[in-house]
Amino acid sequence: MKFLSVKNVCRYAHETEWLGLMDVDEFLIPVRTTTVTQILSQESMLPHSWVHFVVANSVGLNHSLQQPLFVQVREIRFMQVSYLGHENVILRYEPNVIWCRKQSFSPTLGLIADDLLPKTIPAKTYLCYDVQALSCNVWK
Amino acid sequence: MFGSSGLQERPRGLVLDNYLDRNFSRNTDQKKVIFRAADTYVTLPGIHEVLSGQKQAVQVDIHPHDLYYNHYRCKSFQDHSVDPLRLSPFLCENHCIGTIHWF
Repeated sequence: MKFLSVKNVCRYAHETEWLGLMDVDEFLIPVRTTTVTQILSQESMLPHSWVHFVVANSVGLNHSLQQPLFVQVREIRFMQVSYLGHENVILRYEPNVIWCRKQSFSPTLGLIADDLLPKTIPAKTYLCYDVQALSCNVWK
Repeated sequence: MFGSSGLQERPRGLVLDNYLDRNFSRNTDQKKVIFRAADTYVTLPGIHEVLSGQKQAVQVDIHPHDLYYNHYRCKSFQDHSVDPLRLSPFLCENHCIGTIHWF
């Protein structure tokens, strides 16, 4: 796989902090903020230097907004990426630790886990959040 | 994916306010990636994917409660008629969900 310098991909890379590839008929819709920059600026709360943000298509959005089951994570203690490639590993459950396979980032809600463990999970990339002040929001 | 919303002429005002009919299918994995230009090396497998050369790079999903994007695949008939790359209205109708009363 060939990695190219960003400056070779986009002629304006040196003029901006963030880059996104959008068609002219695609519109970004910030919901709770007035600008996209306000959302991206929250990146500083994540303990990682290289964070890419993934924006969802509005297709199917109504479903996900109406029937979420979220656990709000208020505090990130550490982040572990990858799980040694073992499949079907049952992770240890601790009261203040949740493991989540899917995670979403919300400046207003914090990190949101929508696939909670403990249970048998396939090996992939997992993030582990150690939380002290864990609050559960169940919206149905 | 948004369609024509039954509009013949280009409406005044914002696209977001005027084109409201859209596809409710959940059959898409399309996404957009916003990344730091400061990341030295990237590869672009497709328009919807950006991979970083940094091993420590992490992709975080922004929750739709905060940000999402709309794709306006086709707009009014007036827009369509002046589009040099326009498809046949029949093809367009197959791609879009929304009221199309062009005939």
